[in-house]
Amino acid sequence: MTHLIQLHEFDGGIHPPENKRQSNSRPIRKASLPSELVLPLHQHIGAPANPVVAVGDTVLKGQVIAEPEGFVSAPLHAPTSGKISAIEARQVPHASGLSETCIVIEPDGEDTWIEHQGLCDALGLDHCDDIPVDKLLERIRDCGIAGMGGAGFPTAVKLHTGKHKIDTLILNGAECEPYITADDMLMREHASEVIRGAQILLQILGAERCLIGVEDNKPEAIAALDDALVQHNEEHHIDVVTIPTKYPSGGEKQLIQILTGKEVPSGGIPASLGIVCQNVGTAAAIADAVDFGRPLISRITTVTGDAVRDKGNWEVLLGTPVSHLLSLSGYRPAKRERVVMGGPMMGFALPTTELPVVKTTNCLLAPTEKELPTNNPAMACIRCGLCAEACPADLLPQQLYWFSKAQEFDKAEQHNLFDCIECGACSYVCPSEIPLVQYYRFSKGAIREERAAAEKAEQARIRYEARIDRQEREKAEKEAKRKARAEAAAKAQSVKKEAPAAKAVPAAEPAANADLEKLQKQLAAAQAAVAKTKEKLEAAREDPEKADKIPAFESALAKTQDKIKTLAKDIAAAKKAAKSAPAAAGPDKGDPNSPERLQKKWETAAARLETARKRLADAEVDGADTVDALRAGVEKQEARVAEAKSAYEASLNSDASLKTAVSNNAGTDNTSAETVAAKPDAEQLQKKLLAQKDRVEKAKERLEMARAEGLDSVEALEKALNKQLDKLAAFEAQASTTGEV
Amino acid sequence: MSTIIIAIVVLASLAALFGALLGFASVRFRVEGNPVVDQVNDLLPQTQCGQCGFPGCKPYAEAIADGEKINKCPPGGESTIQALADLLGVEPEPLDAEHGAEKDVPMVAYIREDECIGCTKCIQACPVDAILGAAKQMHTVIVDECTGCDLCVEPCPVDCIDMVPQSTDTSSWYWQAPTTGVELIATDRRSLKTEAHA
Ligand code: SF4
Ligand code: SF4
Ligand code: SF4
Ligand code: SF4
Repeated sequence: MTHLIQLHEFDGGIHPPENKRQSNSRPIRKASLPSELVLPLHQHIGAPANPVVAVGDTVLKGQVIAEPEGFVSAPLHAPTSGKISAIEARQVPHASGLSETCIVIEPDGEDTWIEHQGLCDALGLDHCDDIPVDKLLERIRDCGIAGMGGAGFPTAVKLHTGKHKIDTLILNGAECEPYITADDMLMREHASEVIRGAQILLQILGAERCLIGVEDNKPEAIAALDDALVQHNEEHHIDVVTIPTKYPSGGEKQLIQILTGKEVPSGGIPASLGIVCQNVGTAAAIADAVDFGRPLISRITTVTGDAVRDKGNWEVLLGTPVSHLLSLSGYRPAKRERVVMGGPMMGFALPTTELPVVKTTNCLLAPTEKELPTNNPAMACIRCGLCAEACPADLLPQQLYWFSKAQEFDKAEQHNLFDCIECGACSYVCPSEIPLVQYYRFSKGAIREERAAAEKAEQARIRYEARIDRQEREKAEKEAKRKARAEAAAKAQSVKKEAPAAKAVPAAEPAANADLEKLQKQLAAAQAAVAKTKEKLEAAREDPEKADKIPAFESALAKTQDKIKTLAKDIAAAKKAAKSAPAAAGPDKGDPNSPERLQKKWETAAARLETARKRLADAEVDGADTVDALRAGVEKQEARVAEAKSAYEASLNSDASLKTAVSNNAGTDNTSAETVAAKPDAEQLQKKLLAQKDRVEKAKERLEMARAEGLDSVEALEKALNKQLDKLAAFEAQASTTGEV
Repeated sequence: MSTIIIAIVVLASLAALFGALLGFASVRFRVEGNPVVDQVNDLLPQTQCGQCGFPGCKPYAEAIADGEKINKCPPGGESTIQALADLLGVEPEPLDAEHGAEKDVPMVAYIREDECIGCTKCIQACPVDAILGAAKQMHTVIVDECTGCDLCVEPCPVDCIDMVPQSTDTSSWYWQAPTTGVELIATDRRSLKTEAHA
């Protein structure tokens, strides 16, 4: 049952001669198998598919031959069984006439299907009504279904409506463009599939109602759809709505306006109004995919125009050459004749007929010159305003024309250039025959290119700045490292200054320092002892009682003074050694200009030259085409060797003085090395000396105590002290000999 | 007397209030960097080729902000000069030929990979890191990132880098503007047609 639906009207529109009778009076015929099928990887909007077969592979009908690349993309299937004969760039049916990668299949004539089944069976469900939505979407995507009305937007992507709640599904059966009857014939012969597709779409979208808009010039199609509705018992959800014939009522935005009265906002999508619009052909393809597992491998294409004898609709495998289809239809090419893919309003003339039928090819129009004369030269715009009246998008085509012509793209954009659906109504009515749409296409392309360039510039800016940042960071890091290294070197230098001996035994550095300190302490102690002894001597001289001790004191004083002398000598020696240490450090091994290094450099460069020459020789023998490159490399290497050699020689000459300095330093090195060898003994001696002094000190104390108390042990003690003192003297003599070295 | 005092007090408090507000705003909404430099930089093509005599677009933008001439960027060409003139309110000048000519097609670098000796010199030259490779390995250009600045061509010791025009495919191709016909009006058409046939 058809509900009463309040129809609305869009502004503008035209009524060109329909010319549909020629092709819709006979049933759809099946086109025969051509000798090869050419399948462009890019038949849809979005990223091209990615081939998953190789040349020489045999494929079955319906087998996936290319996988989608990314989200907005669609896979490709083999339309028949056969062999992949090529994967190469071929000219594709596009207004540009450019070539793109295509998979070429040579049919084996068997037409054997790959195993396939309906989604319901595949999932093993009892009720085919409750297939999960994601499974349905997956199937639609896997079957490569893309909008079959014209643009070819991947259907599964369009059905992902995100946060928008959809209440209305619109099926577009308007087919308003003259000559084309593919959808008309599809609705007549496959009405049931269309309704089934609508059911599936309703389920996916969760929408309450579906409107199928069909122009009133297709009564047979409307009747067929109504019958199918009854069959499917869907009269309550799905309505077939008859709309008045007017071009371009089949435009998505226009059809939505006709059926719902809502206008899709500029730059918006229908989903924001809760509406999704699909072509009837797409719905039928969805039904095929879900219920039978048949991917999109064929479509219905109208072949019409006075240049073909046998006008009508063909069910044709994707990839079938246009020439094959035309010859099936009895094409009689005459002079200056062209074949248009699509309709007379929005189609484009094909550069050659050796182009394949693709997912969006709804019509091949081969008109005679008389039927569809080529454009006369454009004349001046007379500002009649007819174009503005005809524009279904409520634009000002005349203004857009002026702006496009003057390349004032920003102004064109402000006048909503991007709302133009390129329907061609304006060009059709233009009395000056200005190819208006071509101007708009040009400006749109130029603006898109500008945008892409701006995006790329932004990207380049970010990358450039990131690079500069990175370089600065690296520099800072290098600087920090260099500083750290310099600091470490300075520290090492100062440590060396203090400890000459440290050079050979770096671990002993602190010990050497301690020695020097010890020596100095001893000196101080000895000097203090001298002062004390002198005092005592004075006292003894004044005190007649102690007169007998004077010689003892005197000898002790002399000994201590001797000791001071040796100590002073030791310290002087130590200091001298410390001073010579930094000099002994000599020429830095890290110096890149040291002759040794330069020599090494020269040697490696020479070695490299050798290998480069060898390689060149090999390459010359083999006749490889890298010979030139290698030769250039060899020349460079030769230059480098020469450079390294001269640098080395220069360093040899200019560094003669440095050399002597080096040998001097080496001399100092030796001395300090000897000192080092003597050192352990001297140290031991010193230790002994100290211990001995301690003992002497103690013996003296005891003697003092004994004397003070008038003990008779005094004598014995005095003897012991003298012995100790002798020993001390012996040590000191020894120490002074070693210390003097 | 009291009215005057009131007026003074009111004005003083208003001044203090607005002062505080402005002070707050200047701190809160401070613009990082020099806005003019950024605006100029946004108009430059970001090819980073250095043809302007500066080591990149940003340095040139800084120089322009300091009064440098605006006609030194060949990749930007006349349209960039026009945009800069509009932004800065100065007279547009023709492109300074000393810095090079505007190219009519965008170019990208292409490395003939089998000839590359992997010296990494081009990587060091590329201002936008658009070259991929490693020492002694084959190098290649990431076409989408290449700005066509030419800077990698010169350093290559084996001359294996070419600048090729950017290729168009069906998604980047677009219709060219129709060649303007004879601008006649409809009544003149007949004579034109007969001429054409004759
Ligand atoms: S082609 Fe664009 S401007 Fe012309 S009538 Fe159609 S929508 Fe309007
Ligand atoms: S000449 Fe090159 S570096 Fe200078 S501003 Fe233009 S694109 Fe940038
Ligand atoms: S690859 Fe070469 S031409 Fe391209 S941006 Fe880098 S340096 Fe410039
Ligand atoms: S400069 Fe030339 S040879 Fe060196 S890495 Fe780049 S492309 Fe290869």
